[in-house]
Amino acid sequence: MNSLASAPTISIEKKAATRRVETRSQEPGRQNPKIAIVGGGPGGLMTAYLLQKKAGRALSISVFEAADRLGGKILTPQFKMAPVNYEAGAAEFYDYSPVDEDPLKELIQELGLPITKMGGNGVSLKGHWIGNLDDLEAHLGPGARQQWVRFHQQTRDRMTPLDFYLSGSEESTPSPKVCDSRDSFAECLKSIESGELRHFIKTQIHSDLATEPECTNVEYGLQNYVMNDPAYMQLFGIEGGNERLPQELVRRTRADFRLQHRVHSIEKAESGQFEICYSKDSDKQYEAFDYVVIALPHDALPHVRFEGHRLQAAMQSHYEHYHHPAHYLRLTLLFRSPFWQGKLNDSYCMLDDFGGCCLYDESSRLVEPEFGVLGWLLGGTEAIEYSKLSDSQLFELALNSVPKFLGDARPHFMEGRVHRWLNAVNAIPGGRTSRPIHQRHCPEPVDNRELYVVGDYLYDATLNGVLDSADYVSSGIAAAVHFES
Amino acid sequence: MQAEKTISSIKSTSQFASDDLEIISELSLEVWEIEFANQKSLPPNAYGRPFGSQRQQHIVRKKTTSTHKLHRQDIEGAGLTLVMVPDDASLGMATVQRLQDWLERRESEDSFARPQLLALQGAQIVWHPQCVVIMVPANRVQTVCQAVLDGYFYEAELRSIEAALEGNWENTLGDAPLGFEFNATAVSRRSELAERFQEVLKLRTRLARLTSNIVVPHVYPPTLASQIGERLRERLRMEERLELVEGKLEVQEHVYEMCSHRTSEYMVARTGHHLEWVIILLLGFQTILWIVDLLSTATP
Repeated sequence: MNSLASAPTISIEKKAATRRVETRSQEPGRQNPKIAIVGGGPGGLMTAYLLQKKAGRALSISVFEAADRLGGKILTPQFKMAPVNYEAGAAEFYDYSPVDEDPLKELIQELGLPITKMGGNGVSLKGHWIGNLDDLEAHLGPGARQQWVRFHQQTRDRMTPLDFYLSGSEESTPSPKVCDSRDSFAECLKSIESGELRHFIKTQIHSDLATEPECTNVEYGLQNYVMNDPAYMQLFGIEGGNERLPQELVRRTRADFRLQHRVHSIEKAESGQFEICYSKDSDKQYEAFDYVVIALPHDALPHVRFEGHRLQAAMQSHYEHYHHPAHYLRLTLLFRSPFWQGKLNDSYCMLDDFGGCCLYDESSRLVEPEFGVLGWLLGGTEAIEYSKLSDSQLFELALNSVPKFLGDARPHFMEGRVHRWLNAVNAIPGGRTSRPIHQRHCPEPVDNRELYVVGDYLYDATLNGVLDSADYVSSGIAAAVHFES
Repeated sequence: MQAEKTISSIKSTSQFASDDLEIISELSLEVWEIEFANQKSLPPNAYGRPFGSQRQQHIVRKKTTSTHKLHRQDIEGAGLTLVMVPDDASLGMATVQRLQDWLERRESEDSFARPQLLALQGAQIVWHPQCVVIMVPANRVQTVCQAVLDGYFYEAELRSIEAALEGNWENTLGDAPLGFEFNATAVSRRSELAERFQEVLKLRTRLARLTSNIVVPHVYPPTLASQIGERLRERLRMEERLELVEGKLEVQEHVYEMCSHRTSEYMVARTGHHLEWVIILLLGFQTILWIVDLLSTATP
């Protein structure tokens, strides 16, 4: 747990003596509300798209993105040696439609993007392949089989599919507990007698958890465990790459997308508008907006100065409440052929290498792949430790970790890529105690009620959570502009 | 099954010999002739546990042979032929592949029964409506065979319902006009229509009993049997086919329901019509008698 003393502070700086202020509200005849969205990742793009849909009138939307691309953690680049895509960020989408409505899946279908189902049950444990209860019993004995079945039954009692679906929302209700919710998830795992079975379950969920079981609470740990049960959730990807989602959102949104525009500070002016200080290259500029949406990853919040005592204090509190960083590291290797076909038949499996990681068969998304692509997803402290190694060292380790029964990877290896996503997600999304939904999205509702926050860390650290967040904020702003008109 | 590896003296090369009618294997294949019995009591040579609704379906191993040679006529019987391939590291996969190619060779382009290969958790399964090839480690034979045969039974049942529905279309289209208007010329066809309606209702009953074995919730943690069952249902598109069958059955049911309504209405109307004439005749006769009586009393 990070202490307040160690958390970066969001400081107040005095206003510059001279600056050039662009206040379009001073222009005669301006009627469209001006909305600034800080952050061009999934949260910002979804907010812009939904605002356009809901507002019922013309809006002037500006999206500020410090990088040279939009899409944030959804990234589908290509290898240099072959025109083959791979997922460098969000690997899959969560499909909640078996339980209830799934707005994210509906959005993807509304955008006309085709999807492919994904699935996998296998875990490679010290060289032994465990794909089901029969394999587990053969490797660990009948006692382990019974314990897993019992643990799963207890988990289902603790968290039903509907509880899982509602987690992070205000509609979720407490249910009978297996473990005290103040315990860490590690304490919950101690109810399993077999150490090897505990290791198996940790390996199974580690790459989803992105942190250690002792660093997250029971609720979040169980969520990442039950995700493997198709009754709770299924997985899918977008054909042609997950990055097609932000690309399609950009295509369908009429907004001013400002790439390489870094936002430095935000301040409420006496006119009632928000003054945003931003720069491209080194030239600072100022512009006024009626509404501001902060759609930044949690670890990027300290890079923006929120001026004004109330706003500064509220954003500081907001940052600290959700400050439970978790980490990912992605390695992706290109091979001359998918030499594992016929032996690995799922979209992914789990390995106990790298402290527990997920191995994706990215070629399984294609019909008749010419090349093979395997992706490793590491989480938690291993992601931090292995991030310190060079790319070539990581490729060596990845090649060594390919399970022997899949074949020898080295003769087929062509090219590798590494993407380091440190502090990219939250280990306890929603914070230690859930805040009311409005407070999550509007940290300072007294003097700065036109400033909103959107983020996956406010919900469940998933893209579904980002959409819920964007939906809430866009509804609020749309209602406000409608009322004003 | 014993994972028996016998290098046949007939073959000295590692190549398979096969033509459309026969295939020769280096490995010794165990061939099971399978029947499905529908009865409460356990039949002789029953294999595995009973399954199906009320546990009345039984897998029966009629015959088991070991052979290096498989002929087309071995698999064209009424039941199912199961070919067990030894889990041999060097020749096993090649044998399975050759068998799949051989099964596919005789299928016409229009045939929907193309063999499908399922590779799942160490098991290799080639599924074909007449013949299933399985290669699996010895300790998983019972589990895999039970799961495959359960799945086979339900798929065969679905296929049978699909075939029956397809066979009904000509009659259904011919009988459809009677759903709008029933006339005297169709009265003689009442019993025929009733039989056809009963056939359609029987199909509905069979489908209702089958549905719970196809639309099955995911099992977690999964067992090998549940994984094979799910994969088979997915590959053979059983849920989608079930939906299509539902739609077709609804149409045929609707036609015969309308026919039965029109038939009933017509018969009730005709009976009423006859009764009316009887009453008219009786009234006429009564009138004649009254006139005769009147005339007889009036004349002096």
